[in-house]
Amino acid sequence: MIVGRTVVEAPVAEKLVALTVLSTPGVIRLEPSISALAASLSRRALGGWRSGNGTLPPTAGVRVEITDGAVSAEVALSIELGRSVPDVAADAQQRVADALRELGGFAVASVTILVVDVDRP
Amino acid sequence: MAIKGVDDAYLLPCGQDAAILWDHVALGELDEHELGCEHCQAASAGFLALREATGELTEADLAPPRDLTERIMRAVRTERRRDAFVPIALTELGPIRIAAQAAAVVVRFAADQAAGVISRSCAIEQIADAPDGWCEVRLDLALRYGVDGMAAVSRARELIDAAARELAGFEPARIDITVVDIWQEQA
Repeated sequence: MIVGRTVVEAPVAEKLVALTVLSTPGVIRLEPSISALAASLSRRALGGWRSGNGTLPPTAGVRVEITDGAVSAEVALSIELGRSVPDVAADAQQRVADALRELGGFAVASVTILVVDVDRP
Repeated sequence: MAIKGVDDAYLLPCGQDAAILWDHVALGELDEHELGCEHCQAASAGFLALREATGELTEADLAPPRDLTERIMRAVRTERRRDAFVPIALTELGPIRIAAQAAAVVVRFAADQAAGVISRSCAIEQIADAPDGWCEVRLDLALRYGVDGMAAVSRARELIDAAARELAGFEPARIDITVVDIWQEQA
């Protein structure tokens, strides 16, 4: 048997990042920019994608670039009011790096966390 | 760059109301300011992309997401907040930054814990030439009629100092507080 190449594509990295961030205690939601929201809606229309509850795919707010096999991720998010922003953000950052390495097999170049809002959950 | 209070969440950095700009984009009638302003031009481009995307949804006979309006306005706010971030940490994985307006939410929340104090507008600004995360805080607040004003302001300052460091993650190198109003409790 010939063992062929395994390729994990950028959208997989995006989704890994988004789901990991959203499962981090203290993170309320991702915060997409206008352009990210427009791109997300367009993908929804062009792909004919429809989920059961009418919500958008969960990756808007995450930007991923893969250069020479290493992922650079930028995440814009909101954190629960009353939690330590640096602690929650650093936890999310570490969880994202771990998920990319362990679940996606990616090398990680950087994970930038942008805390756009602090809000009640 | 100075940041305005948190009450004007849907204003663009130039002061233009995003909802008005959205209407003008929809009509294809941008005014003189909007045509010449970099912030309005950037937001217009985003709005046009959004209109195209939502138009595609209609043509494809797909129901738009139920929370679309809220998401659009959130995106406008996010766009505006991207203009001013305060760096609060640099780990081996990369930077962590907080939007100045998000930091202002934490400061206002802290000040409101002082008895007799209601915060109004707040601005947070990274100090030029200071280490990352060293900021000036400017807070306007109102005092309840009858409280010891100086004691209340002093307590608010203590709470802001602690919250800035422990909750928001920045160093409040200077905290300027302006009392702008007195309010009375309803009987």
